[in-house]
Amino acid sequence: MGSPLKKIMLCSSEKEIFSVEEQVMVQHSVIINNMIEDGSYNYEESKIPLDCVDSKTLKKVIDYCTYHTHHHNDNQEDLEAWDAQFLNVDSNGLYDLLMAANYLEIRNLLDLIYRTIKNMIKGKKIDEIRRILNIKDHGFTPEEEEQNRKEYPHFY
Amino acid sequence: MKHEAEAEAKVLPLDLVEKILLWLPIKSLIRFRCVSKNWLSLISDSRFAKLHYDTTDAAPTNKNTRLLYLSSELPLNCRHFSLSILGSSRGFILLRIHVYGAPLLLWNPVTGSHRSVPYPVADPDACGSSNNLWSGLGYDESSDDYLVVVGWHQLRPQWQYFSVRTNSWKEIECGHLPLYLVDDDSARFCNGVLYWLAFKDIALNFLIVAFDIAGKHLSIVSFPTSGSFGRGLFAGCLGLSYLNFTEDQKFEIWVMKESSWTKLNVVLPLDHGIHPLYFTKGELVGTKNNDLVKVSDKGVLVESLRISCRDNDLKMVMFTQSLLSLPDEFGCTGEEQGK
Repeated sequence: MGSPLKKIMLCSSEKEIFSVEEQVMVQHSVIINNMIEDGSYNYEESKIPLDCVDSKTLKKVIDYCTYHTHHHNDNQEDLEAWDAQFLNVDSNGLYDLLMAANYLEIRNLLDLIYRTIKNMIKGKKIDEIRRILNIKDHGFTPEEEEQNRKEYPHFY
Repeated sequence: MKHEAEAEAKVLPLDLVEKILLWLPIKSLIRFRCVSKNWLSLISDSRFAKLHYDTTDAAPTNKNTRLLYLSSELPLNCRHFSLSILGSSRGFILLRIHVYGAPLLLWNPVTGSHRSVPYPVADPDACGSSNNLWSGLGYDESSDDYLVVVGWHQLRPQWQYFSVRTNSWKEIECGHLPLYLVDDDSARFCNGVLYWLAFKDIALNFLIVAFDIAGKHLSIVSFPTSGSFGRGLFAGCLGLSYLNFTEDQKFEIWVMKESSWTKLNVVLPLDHGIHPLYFTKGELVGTKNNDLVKVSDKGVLVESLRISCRDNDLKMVMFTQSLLSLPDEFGCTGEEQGK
């Protein structure tokens, strides 16, 4: 208590350094929490290399964690509105965020993205889902596709 | 241009696709088998079926829970026979075909996967009245096994259970159990225990017979209020519940949690005369004469649907849609072999 907020350094795939309050990342990322707890992070020298997270995505992830650390007492509706605005990105942006959240093990951000993608594809036609999720090669022959549809006719 | 090409290559890894699909209802999953071959094998995988069932089951309200009603439109080759539902557990339904020599049938109504279960005795109808065959379907989590439980009276009470995994019947120790089952009530499966509503004696006092699936033993559960004209046992999202008719002509609902009963704060006027099927989110679903009705906890009729069938109780059951397959005796699930 009373000491200035400890900061940690995160390094994006473009080698850009981001300085973040330790608490913000520790609270949200299982991976970073583990690094701090087991003492493998050196405050003087270390920066955590995140080779698979680009600067744009890392900035968003930090925004998310920072906001949720400082606003966790806000009412649910306000938080949900902020989350919705936060995830108002194109599908590639969403993909990058998902991969970053998965890598850093940020549970609530992961759940948020899963739910968002779930809502994007729920009730959609097969072709639309392929388009949304960029599935170019589905691997079926036309006969197999027809066969699939026939198997559970009452669901189509 | 290079950037665009890179952007286009972004396809979700399958382990993350799985996490998303876990949150989708069965109806979507069945359709999504057509998205790609990878998705098809993911969704058809028995490990995924289990994971999906457990994920939705852990949610506060299971969106895959349905009321199943057997009409004449059966997806099985037995629509000409008289059928009754004897139980429901973890995505499967136990059916009785009222034809001499026909076995019991375990059926997943979503996937259509089914297998027959022979009776423990050659002719169940010879075991006294066929209407007094106690039966139920339960799931044993510890051994990932479905158990079909059957009880009947032939000189003495006899009980046996069938393990789907070992494909065999075993006798159940039963001491002095009541002889009479109430109407044609099928068993309710709840938190690892099967329950039947039974007559204690000829004075029409009720009690509950319970079979613990993991422990494989029978016991008696009594009602919280003495002398109550308890009628209507049902398994709701809250656990085992029963509808009680009180002296001041009201219905009340009691729920059992950790072997003690609690009265729910709901008001149901007597004239509703409902046979309960399910209680959820402050609403009671049940049958009344030829109607399927939904009543609010204030006793107000919310919805009613005409169904025409004489023995509705045995044509209807709450079940949870799933892609689960039955285990087999070799310790793997049937799905992998069937493909």
